[in-house]
Amino acid sequence: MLKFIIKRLLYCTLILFLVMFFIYTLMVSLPSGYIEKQARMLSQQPGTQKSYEQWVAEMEVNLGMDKGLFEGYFTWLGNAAKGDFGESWNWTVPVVQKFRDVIWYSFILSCIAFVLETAIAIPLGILAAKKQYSLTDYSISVVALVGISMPTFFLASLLKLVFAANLKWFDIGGMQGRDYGQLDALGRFFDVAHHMILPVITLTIIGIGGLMRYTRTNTLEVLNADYIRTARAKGLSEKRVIGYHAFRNTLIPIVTIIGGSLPGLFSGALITETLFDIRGIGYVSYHSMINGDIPFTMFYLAFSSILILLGTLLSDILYAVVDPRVRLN
Amino acid sequence: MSNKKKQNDEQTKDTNMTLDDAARVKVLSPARLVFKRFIRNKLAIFGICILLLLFVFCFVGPLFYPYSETDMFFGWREQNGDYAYAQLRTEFVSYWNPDCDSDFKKSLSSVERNVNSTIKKMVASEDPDEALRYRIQSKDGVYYDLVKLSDEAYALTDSSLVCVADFVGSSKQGVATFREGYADLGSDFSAAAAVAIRNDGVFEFDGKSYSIVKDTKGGKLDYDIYCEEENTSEPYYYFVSTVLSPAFYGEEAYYKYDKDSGFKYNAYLALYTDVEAYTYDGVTYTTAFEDGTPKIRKDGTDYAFFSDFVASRKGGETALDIEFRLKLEEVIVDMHENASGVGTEVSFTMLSPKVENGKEVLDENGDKVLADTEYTVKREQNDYSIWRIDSTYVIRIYESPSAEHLLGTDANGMDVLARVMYGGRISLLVGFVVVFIEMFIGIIMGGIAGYFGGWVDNVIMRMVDVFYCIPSMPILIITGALFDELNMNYITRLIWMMAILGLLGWAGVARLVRGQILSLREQEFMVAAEASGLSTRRRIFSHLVPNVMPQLIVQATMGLGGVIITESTLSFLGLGVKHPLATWGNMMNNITQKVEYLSAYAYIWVPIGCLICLAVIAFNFVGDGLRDAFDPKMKR
Repeated sequence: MLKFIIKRLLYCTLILFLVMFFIYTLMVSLPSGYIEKQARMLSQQPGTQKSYEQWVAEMEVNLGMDKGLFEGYFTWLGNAAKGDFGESWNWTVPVVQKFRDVIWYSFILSCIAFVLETAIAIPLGILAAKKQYSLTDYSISVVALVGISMPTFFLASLLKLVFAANLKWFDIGGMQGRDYGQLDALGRFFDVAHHMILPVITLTIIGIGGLMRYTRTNTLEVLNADYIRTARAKGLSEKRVIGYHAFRNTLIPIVTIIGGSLPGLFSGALITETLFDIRGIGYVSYHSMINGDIPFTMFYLAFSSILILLGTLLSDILYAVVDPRVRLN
Repeated sequence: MSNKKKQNDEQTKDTNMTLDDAARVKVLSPARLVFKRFIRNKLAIFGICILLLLFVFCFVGPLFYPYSETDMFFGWREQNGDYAYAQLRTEFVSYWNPDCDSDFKKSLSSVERNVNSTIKKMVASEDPDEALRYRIQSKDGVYYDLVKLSDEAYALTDSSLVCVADFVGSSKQGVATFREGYADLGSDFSAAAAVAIRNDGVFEFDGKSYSIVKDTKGGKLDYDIYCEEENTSEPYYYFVSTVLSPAFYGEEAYYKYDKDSGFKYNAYLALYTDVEAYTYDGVTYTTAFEDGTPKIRKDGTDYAFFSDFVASRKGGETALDIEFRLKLEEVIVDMHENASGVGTEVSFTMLSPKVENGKEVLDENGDKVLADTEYTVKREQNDYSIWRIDSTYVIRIYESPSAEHLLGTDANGMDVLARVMYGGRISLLVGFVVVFIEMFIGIIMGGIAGYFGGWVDNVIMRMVDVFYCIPSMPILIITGALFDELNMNYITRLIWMMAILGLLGWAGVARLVRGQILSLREQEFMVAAEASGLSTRRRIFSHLVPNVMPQLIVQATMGLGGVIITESTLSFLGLGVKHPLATWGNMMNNITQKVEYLSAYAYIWVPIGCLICLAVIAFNFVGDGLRDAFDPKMKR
């Protein structure tokens, strides 16, 4: 097991190295970005002594972008390995500090949504499988499919329309109400929590469909297995058949999926956070990307790549842990 | 064995076994079997129907719809518009003598700028001479006098203090050089000036008093000698006044003289120098003050009057009716006296020419039709704006649904329904192209990796792992922002976007193809294919890949939905397909950006969003149906 994990980790490092190289190449070779924009602005300022080209050259030196592709990449990699991702150009604070400031909002947001998703999707998925081809099954399947097919921005806009614009229960965006400054600690907590409700609903509805469908398919498979027939033949109550024999076997693939998506809780919700102005990692990196902030973007991409790799690794490991029949090698 | 031969064999087999009981069980070809299973699935049929409808709507609909996606619609719209502008003048404003050239005006700019404070000083002055005639020095050092003509009118003219000579050289040996037009008073004068320079700068010579001013202009030190002379010049350089805004009786005069400074200048000159009649532009005018209002008359009838009330049509091209102006003045003076604050609104109704579609309505005799029109006067900071319902030629933005435009018009005055149709085309097209690219790269890479194995497989699978790991949404956002930065043409941009989407998505297909081929290549038919000496290319692409086709078709159908979501999200963020091309995503982007539009134009964006959902759901249903049909083991 340990050997497997180490082997996989080493392999992940290789993949990560290649991915980051690919991304670095892309970022560096962008023909126009933050530096060019800033240089254009600076060279047009009254009283400036330098031309646009001189500004570009100077800023490239200052920001460490004057090195070649390979040297630049290895410098970045070396610094990154030490935990130094440089200073964000867009937010003008060190990347890691900005990350620390915002990551918990994202995590809490995703976490709540994730718990809700799991708590709703798994029972409903099992229920749908239990009553296959019934009205319940069809309605659950349709709801799941709508959840999968709904673009996040449409759902977010709909929620905003109904609950923020028409019913005025929530603000249209942002994390704090107008009177946030006058509230005490508890009031502030509830204020932020209140602003998180719509994003959480959005994330939950978007995420629920896939898990529900997956649970249903798996449960159906399990329910058709021989040991379930055996259990029924033994004369066990349906409750015990489903709740004990079937449920535990259904959980095997589900646990792997859930485990695999745990690291993703940190990666933030790019679209949802941007649409609801939640200052989490997704929102911050969206604006970094749009403004060509290379240090933060590199950091974010490295971070999400690591999370993706960790997710697959975790689900593989969990698969072996939950199902003793699976051998990792 | 060719397909035809295979079919023939099957047919003969069929006929041979007619008498057998087993033949009663109808044998179906695999394709028909799949088809039969597929059409039994209600959801899949529902999906197919929706897709067909969508395709007809997006690809056939525009052929029968009169508008294209880029048609903009203009029209007259009755809306409360800024009609006129008015001001009660309290400050003095200058009117130049048209003979002055621009260089001269420039040299007097500082004087002109300070004229209001100068007049305040004159009014406050206790010296009666100074109250009538105030001396100002321009930035060139030349003196001018501001002369009071009446309480509301002043004029600028040459000063009586003029520079007669320049004193050049040191204060001991310097020589005074007289300027043109002044008689040289000889060396005694220079000596007297030199003494004065050393003392207080004032001296008397020959019964006249002179004053000396240091002049350091041009980097050289010299002295100017000034003398009080009889004022000879009469031209006023300009008038300053609070009341000199002309109002004309009759539109013709307005068009002719409103912008003519010569006309104004001559009128002021005549009015304030008590000239009874004067001629300008070949016409003789007479002047008069009626209740203190300066007026000029032509041929005995009132031609224009001047007041401190300024009013003009917004834009200034058209004349204001004189009666309307008088009424307006009354209202505004009233507002002014009541000290109404900023933002106060007063409405009044007046008979005005009726305007429809930008033209004044005429009756059968060619006379203007009058109608009661409501005007609203609104106080801005120091001026007033007058609003009324007016018909203006506008782009018909955000129009409600009508028979002409079934879904109304959008922010650019384009027909929403037409754009929904064309937008669907783009969205579906992007889906198909991207999935095609994904499939194309994926099949080739996966096929090669799966068939050859070994290091080729290793390299390709590492690439697959890398592409699997790249977060695609961030990459798409970065490139989208880059395209914005480059001001890329919208077609080039669309092509690039599809290429990038395809490049980021092939890994899944390659993995699938490889996995299938790995198991398939060990099967007997592949051994047979190898034994019959087929080329590697044929073995991979005509024997192995067709066997992966079912999974590929399912994957492609499901992928289509995903691509449509990604594309619409990007376009919604403004980083995907750009105006003037419509897609479902960017059509929603325009509307949902502003909070007030969100609910006001929900009837536009909610259906569009539903269309996206519907398309994706339909593709998913069909994909599900196909999977169940291809793989009957799953269907229970």
